[in-house]
Amino acid sequence: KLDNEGKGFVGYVIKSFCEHRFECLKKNSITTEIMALRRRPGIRSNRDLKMNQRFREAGSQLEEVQIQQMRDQLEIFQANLERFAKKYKRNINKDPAFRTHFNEMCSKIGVDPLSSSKGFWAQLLGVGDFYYELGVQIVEICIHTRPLNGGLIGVESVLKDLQKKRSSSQNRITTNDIEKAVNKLSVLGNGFKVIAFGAKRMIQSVPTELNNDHTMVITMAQDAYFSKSTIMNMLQWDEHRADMVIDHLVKEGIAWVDEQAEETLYWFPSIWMNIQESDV
Amino acid sequence: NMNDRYNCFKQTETSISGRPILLEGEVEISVHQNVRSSDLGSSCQNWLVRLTNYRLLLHDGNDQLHWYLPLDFVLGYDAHKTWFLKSNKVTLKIRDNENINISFDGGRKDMFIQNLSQCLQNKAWERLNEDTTAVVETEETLFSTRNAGISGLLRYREERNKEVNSNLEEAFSDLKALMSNASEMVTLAEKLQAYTAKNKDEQDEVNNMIFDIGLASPVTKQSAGNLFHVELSRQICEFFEDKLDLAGGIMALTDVYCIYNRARGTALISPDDLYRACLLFEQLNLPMMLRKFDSGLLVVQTTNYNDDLLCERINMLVEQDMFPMTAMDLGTRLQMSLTLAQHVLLKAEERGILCRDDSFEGLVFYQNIFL
Repeated sequence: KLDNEGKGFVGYVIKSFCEHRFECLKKNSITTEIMALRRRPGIRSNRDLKMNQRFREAGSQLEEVQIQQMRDQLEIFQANLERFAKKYKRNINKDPAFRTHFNEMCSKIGVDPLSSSKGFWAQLLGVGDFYYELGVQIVEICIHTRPLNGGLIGVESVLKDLQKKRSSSQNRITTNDIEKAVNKLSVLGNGFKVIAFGAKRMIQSVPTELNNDHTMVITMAQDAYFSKSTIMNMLQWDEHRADMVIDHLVKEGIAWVDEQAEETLYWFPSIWMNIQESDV
Repeated sequence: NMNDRYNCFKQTETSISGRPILLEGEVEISVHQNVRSSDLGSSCQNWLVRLTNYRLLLHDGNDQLHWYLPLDFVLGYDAHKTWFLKSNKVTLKIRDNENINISFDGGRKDMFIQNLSQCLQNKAWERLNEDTTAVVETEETLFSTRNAGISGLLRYREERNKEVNSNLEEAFSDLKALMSNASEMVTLAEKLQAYTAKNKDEQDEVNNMIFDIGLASPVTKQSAGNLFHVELSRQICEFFEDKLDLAGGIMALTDVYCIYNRARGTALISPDDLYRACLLFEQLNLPMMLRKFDSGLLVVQTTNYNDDLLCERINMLVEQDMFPMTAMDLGTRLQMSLTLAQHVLLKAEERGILCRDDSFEGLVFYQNIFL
């Protein structure tokens, strides 16, 4: 408050006096604070405690609000889903294009409608039954064909078998549906998975280890067969490595031995049948 | 004491897994936990209520007793619906002018009311011997020259196409709207996934909500406490009790999945559901367990299953007539799946009962006469 009084010598003296006092006061206040702290050491920690408690209360209040919000949203969402289901339940089961679209959108937002039969999606839309039933049928087909292909079967072959099993009125299915059902089956521990061998897609239904070497040989066998010399040449392998791969594939029943050609050939029934199916 | 207070309550028998034994034609409709009632004896604050189409079953978690009330004793109910306060209470009016008050502290009171009113309306207990014939609706179609002839066919096809296309457009836009609603839910749920509740009930509720939308987190022992999975676990135990014994006490999880779903017919369970339910066997003290082999194969076996017993059996078989023994032979003989038979053979080899003959033609086993 030194505006008009700040002029002239007196003003100068007053100003410097006030500044000096101000500095002293500042130093004083700091010292008083320090002395206060020293006198009562618990104050700061006490204050922190109180702050933390208040933060925690605010935090839990926030969470309460969020939970209530979630409850309300859930009710609304359930009602929406019921309305949607009333209109489109049949479509989801009958129309593969719609179903694929639905699945894509679900995975885009990070939701798995098949994770539980008690979740909203399965209960209200009935997507569950469709895929779980498909799962059972796929398992049956894999068990049935295992003596032939050793536990590796092409997706198209499965599709053909499924279409024979199911009646024509019972939903049209696509390879996408099959792969989705197989992905769900993997949790059962039987080694169910979809493997891509180049452009061919196969379903494995046994817990066998197929490493990179095996995969490469299977991918290479475009015409459903290979011989030891071809893989040694094309992949630049030594004989020992080729032998190991051949042994494993034959033992598992995935490859069959054909000794009637010039050189022993090894056939994959799974690939061969796949070729048959796609040609038909 | 329940018997004194209301002599309409009777005790019901329980099965091996602790669930009540249902009558023929009786179907369970809904299950509710955390039901409180001051009228049913103050010793229990936590009833498990099961509503079927014939009876109302009550289970006191403490003393392992099951009580039931036949639904034809229930004359009516009062749902205590007020327009401004939400109440959990339901009053059941039963014979002789008695009233029973129950509170649904675990929620889902509306579902109970809905199901109860439906059951009371249907009176399924009266129709135990009735045949139900399906009524087929026939539509009357009017014929007019507009629909006749080639032009009629063309017009029909055009109209159908238009209908299908507009339906498809509508369908996709509806789907989009639904998905945007769902993605809002997902963002909310993701925030809540990190939530640690003060009490177990809220944590369960949050977990259930996350479960319902399909955002199921990877299975942990905590998240497997869902009531649905607990019930499922008991049901599976009951169902497979004798089947497992027939199969030698051990069965692959994939087989369990197929057999169980085939038996269910509708309302099938997902593989994840089965896995979570089987994880609960130990926790619920059921006489079965889930076991994992080195290769990742999952099996369900009875608690008194012993590898030794099975190896004994294999020893006998290979001694008598089954050599060389392959997995296929064993599987056919013991009625177990091929993968499981392979693992069992390897286990028997580990114990020195069998020795292998590993050749180009495959892996076969003989009796181990060297040891």
